[in-house]
Amino acid sequence: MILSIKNLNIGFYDNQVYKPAIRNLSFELAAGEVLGVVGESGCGKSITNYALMGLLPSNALVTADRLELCGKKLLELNKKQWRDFRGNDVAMIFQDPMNALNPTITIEKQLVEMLSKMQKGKSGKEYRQMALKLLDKVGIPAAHLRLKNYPYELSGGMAQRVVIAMALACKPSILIADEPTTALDVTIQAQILNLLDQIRIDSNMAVIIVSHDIGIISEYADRIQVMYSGEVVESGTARQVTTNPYHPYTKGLLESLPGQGDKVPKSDLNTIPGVVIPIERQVEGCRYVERCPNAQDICHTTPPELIQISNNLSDLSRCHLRG
Amino acid sequence: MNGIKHTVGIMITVICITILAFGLIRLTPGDPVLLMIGERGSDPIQYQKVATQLGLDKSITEQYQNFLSQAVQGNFGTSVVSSRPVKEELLARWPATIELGLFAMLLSLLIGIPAGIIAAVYRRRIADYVVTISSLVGYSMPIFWWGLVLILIFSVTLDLTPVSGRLDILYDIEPHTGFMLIDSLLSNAREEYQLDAFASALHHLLLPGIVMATVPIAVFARITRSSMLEVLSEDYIRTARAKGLSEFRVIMFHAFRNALIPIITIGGLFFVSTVVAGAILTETIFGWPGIGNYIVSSVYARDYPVIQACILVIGMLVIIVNMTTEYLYRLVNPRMRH
Repeated sequence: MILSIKNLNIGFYDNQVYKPAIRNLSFELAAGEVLGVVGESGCGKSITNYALMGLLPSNALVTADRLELCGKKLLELNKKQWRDFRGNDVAMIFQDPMNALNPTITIEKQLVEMLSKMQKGKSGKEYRQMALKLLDKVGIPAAHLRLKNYPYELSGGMAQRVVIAMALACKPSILIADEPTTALDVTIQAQILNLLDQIRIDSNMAVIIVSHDIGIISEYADRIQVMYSGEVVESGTARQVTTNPYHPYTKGLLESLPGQGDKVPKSDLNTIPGVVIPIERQVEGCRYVERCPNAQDICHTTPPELIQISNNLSDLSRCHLRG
Repeated sequence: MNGIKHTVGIMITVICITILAFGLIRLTPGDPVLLMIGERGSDPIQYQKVATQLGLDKSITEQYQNFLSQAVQGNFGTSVVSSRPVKEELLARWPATIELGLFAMLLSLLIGIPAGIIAAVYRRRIADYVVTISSLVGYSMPIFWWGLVLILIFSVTLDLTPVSGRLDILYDIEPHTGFMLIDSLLSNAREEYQLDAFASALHHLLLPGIVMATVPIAVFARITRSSMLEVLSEDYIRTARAKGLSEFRVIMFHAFRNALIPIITIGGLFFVSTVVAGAILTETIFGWPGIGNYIVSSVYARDYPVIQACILVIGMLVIIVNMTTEYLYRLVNPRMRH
């Protein structure tokens, strides 16, 4: 396993008050596998990713029974080890490519900066060749012209390709893609996702792809993990989760896709009523109970456990109401 | 096209400056002729003679035309007080002011910008509070009072720094450039003597330099802090950290580069005003033989030609600094280059 997480808890100190965010998160990921993480804004998807990168702010508290990535115990890394780890073993691409690149530095310098960190002591010309190769690999036409460009001279899709190239510069074993297509045109989305998939196959890299769009995730992920207010509420193979969802939140998400759901005409959009409860709030029962159409008495009083729901060990759901 | 617009803008500014330089002094009460010949019992014939000599008997428009046509040729007339060409007087004093100004600028950049960076990086920690509070104090410091306090402490009580002047009277340095730091090294004396003179010149610059730099240091610290804070929360800083770069590189290479854009724009604007205003006060307090000091004494003496020339030259300096600022702005901001 490349990534192994058991009972990860993340919280933040706000004026000396501890506010929990991620509760008892456990999952594993193998080389070449794609994990899709789905959930609404504020459900803790990004916090988990930042924890894996060591990029949480200094008021965050991370605890876990096990938190291992590429054989390294993340909780024990010091600052220097984190720096070597980031970029080397794990790389990340971000939601808004136009803001993810430094506006005052050329593409070439931003790429070479990464390359020279990984492979020291080469000449400027060699680094340049390597940067060119990377841009070619991510499908940027006329790469030699792009090297001298500044980020504002690129389109959103091109900028995201540059960000991907930068992430790949060090051949990471795991790539975290945080909403990689959200800020892009729909026509570009598929191109970027196909590119990511191609690269994954070529280098047998594990990928965590985060999105609020379960439709996109289901096409590219092997497994899907649905998060709600800091907890995993359902996880399983992409097929299981999308065709036979168990948790009412997952069902709600799938029915909210345009043209889906049977309760409303095809021309209308289905929605989940209500809003996510604040991630730091403590509740007695199920965190989804306020919005759940089938809530029972037990749902208000007892928090549900994550339990196995099929023959497959990894198909889990956090709901009292079986079937 | 842009270049033409720009040039026209500068020309209009220059014309406005000449009108101000010429007009402002004539609006102040006091008659230069009376000052020259003595107010009591002035003889009308004598008065007329001096007024004609100074060109003050002509109409205002004629005087302005005269002033302008002379100024274009680099001729600013003759000083009423010393009867020497104003041009000569200015050339003898400019280097002292420029030397002090550059020294103060160097101090304010070298102290203000790092202080601002440290405050932003250690936000809401002790270092930040120290910088924020001291820059607030520095910014609100009345320069004339601050200068006197420093003289009292360091010159009078502790006897660490000289009270006034540019050089110890022990040294005799012949002027080449007018910059004492350079002239002391250019003098054809022994090397030891040169270095001693250089040290003495630096020693004399220290206190007035600090006084003049106080407000700019505070301004630069504040601008740098707020600009860095804004940049540090940008997505590309997160990217730089995700690349596994050292914190120093993230801050100095990725963040500071972007933070420089507002620092240059606001800093450039602020700098001229604080240095010009600061020069007048600082030079008066420290008896610094520069333009600031000269303006003050010329105003008292109603030396019209000198005041006009000084305002004109300061106005030109402001334009030059603004142009430099704009150039630097384009240099750090690639989006402005095309």
